[in-house]
Amino acid sequence: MNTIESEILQHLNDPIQREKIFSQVVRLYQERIYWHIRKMLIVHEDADDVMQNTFMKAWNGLDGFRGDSLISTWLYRIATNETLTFLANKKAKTTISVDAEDDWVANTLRADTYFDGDDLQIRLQQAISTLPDKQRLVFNMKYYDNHTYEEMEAILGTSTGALKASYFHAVRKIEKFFDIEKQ
Amino acid sequence: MRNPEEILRQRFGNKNYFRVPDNYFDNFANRWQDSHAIAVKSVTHFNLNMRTWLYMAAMLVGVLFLARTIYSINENHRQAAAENYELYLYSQVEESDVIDYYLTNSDL
Repeated sequence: MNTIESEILQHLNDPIQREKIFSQVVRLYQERIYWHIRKMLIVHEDADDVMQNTFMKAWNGLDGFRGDSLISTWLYRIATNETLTFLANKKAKTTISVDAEDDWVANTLRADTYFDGDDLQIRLQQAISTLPDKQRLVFNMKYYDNHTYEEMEAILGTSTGALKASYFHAVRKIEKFFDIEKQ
Repeated sequence: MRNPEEILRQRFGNKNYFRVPDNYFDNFANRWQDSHAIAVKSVTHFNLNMRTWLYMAAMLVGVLFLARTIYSINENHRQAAAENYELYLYSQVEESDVIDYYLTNSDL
């Protein structure tokens, strides 16, 4: 735990300073948490909603946080759960096939003013969207955010071995997606 | 043979192409702080109201308990006084007088 984290933790236990310090926590971690969520949900508005819920849950659960893990790890964990719940609810509401999901990603990104990628990047996002949610999480965290397997283990609660296997399979599936596309 | 991850990285890179509206993060922090302050305020208000009601309920229970205790003490006292009076009356009458009284009033 670095000095900033331990200082924050110390002040978070103080009921008078808690609110002010938590606002600093929001400012400090919001970007990382946002990108973690956004890469999974694609749409900015959805990511914004889930981030609000994440920090609200963190605030409400502050008494339960004993400092056994880093604040960032704890926030990532909440954000991950919120994101997976959001995706599950969305899937329950709409019965969409895997192919339709690919199209949805492509169409959404083409129309999205908050996405700068070209067609190649859109196709990569399409390929990523074919992965199961948890595998997609692992892929995004490793490929884009360069998280170590140890960090991912703490956040996702999955063993390093399983994470390595999951990432390997994700890369293979994406590779295959483009091989099929070439044929 | 090249690592498949390396192939992906070389072909697509790992740059983040998603964007956010201008000043989104500054606005988010402010927005969150404002909405959170309102939520905290209403929770505090609720807790204060709740606390007042709890104090009042505790006081009511206390008053009822005290009243019941005082009532039962008074009741015991009254019963004891009645018993004492009865014993006093018996002590003032001779046993032979009581027997005579029972014999003359045979229907008792």
